[in-house]
Amino acid sequence: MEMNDFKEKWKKELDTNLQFTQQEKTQIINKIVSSQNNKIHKGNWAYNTVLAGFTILGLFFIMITLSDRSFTLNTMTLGSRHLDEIEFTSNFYWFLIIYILTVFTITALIFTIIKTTRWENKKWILYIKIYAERKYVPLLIFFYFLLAIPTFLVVNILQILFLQLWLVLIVSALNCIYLLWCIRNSEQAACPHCGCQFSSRKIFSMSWNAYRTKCDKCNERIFHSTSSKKKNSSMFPVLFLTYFILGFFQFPFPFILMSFLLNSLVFNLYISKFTMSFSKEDEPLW
Amino acid sequence: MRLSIEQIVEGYSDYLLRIAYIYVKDKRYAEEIVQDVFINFYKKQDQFREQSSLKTYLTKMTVNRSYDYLRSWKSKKELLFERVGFKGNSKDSERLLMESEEKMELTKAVLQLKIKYREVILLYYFGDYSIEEIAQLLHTPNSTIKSRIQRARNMLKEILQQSDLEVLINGNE
Repeated sequence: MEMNDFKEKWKKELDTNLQFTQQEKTQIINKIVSSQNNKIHKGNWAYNTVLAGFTILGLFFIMITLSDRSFTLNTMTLGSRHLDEIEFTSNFYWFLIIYILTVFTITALIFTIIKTTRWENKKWILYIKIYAERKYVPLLIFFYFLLAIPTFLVVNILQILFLQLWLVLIVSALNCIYLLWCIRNSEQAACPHCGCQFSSRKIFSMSWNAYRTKCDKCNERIFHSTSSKKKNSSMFPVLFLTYFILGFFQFPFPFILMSFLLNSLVFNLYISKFTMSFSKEDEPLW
Repeated sequence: MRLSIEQIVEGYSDYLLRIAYIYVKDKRYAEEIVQDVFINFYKKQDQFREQSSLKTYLTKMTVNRSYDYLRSWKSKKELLFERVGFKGNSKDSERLLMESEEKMELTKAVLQLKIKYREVILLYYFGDYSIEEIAQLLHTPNSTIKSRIQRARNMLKEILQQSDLEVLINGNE
């Protein structure tokens, strides 16, 4: 049997043995027409279920935490005493920690601003770049030394609770800088169909509405891409690590909560504009 | 000129059924796949920009849908039952089909091939696509398709020789 024989015979074999009956064809047509008339949208239940599950779990843990008086009240009122025990009440140690973190924060901020590609053409960046040149580094170091004096004075004046608040604010600022560093090379999200860039307000609304989002310009449906979900979720462990460290050193829970809310606000209002990307098709969670 | 859905079903359903069957080896699932393909096509027919022929477009949809099935838990379960020794429902239907149609020797031989060889043989000999078209359809380089066709022919030759069908496929096609 030659190849052409094979082809012909195989075709004939399939043609005679595999076919729909006329009744089956009619059934298919009926199903197609009825599926079009049936407008009920079958939602993607998995995302909603996961989201609802996490919300319930989160609420459950918050309720447990609030009801656990030994945790909240002790940390509120006896926070300083715990710190006494590990000999952190000494003003010098407080000064050292706050000063080092402040210097680190300022340096990190300068680096982040310089390395952010989308700010390259801004005027104010040019000024920072000029002063960040090597010849101005001694001046910067001098400024850092000068900063030590007011820091030391203020640390001596403030009560321990305010020092804790100060430190938490510095950590929150560091977290924000970390988030900014993560998006230093990212551009604002754009429509995968027509390529138009979304406004900040549109992105904010879309970040809270993962389904049934449409591009205003081309009216095509768009979905959160898997890469954007991964990018978003990969940022948070570092932030949670800082909260954990603060909690470990018995910082008051409201302060940690405030830091969390502050970082969340920054993330939702600014960072998510650059971490989000969209795709034409609904992609799996991972 | 746009065809009505009745004309499309009438014209392509049998052809797509054969394509799906060669992929999933099960007539019942193949029928489901074809039905899904038509429903999806009908819902999203605006997306068909006529850059390729309707036949190619529907073939691509069927191939994708068949792969979805092969990746699905349903398919893996059938495969597991088959290997363990249980006969799944789908395999029953396949067996019944084969038993009722004794003349399906060539199809049986093709179904023994691995999926990557089966699909090239199917598209090349049954679908009448050129190597370039198959390469585009499967997003695979031309050279890979050529070598797969060659290997698939050799394998088919061996299988058919064993089953007393003096073959074939050395040819120049």
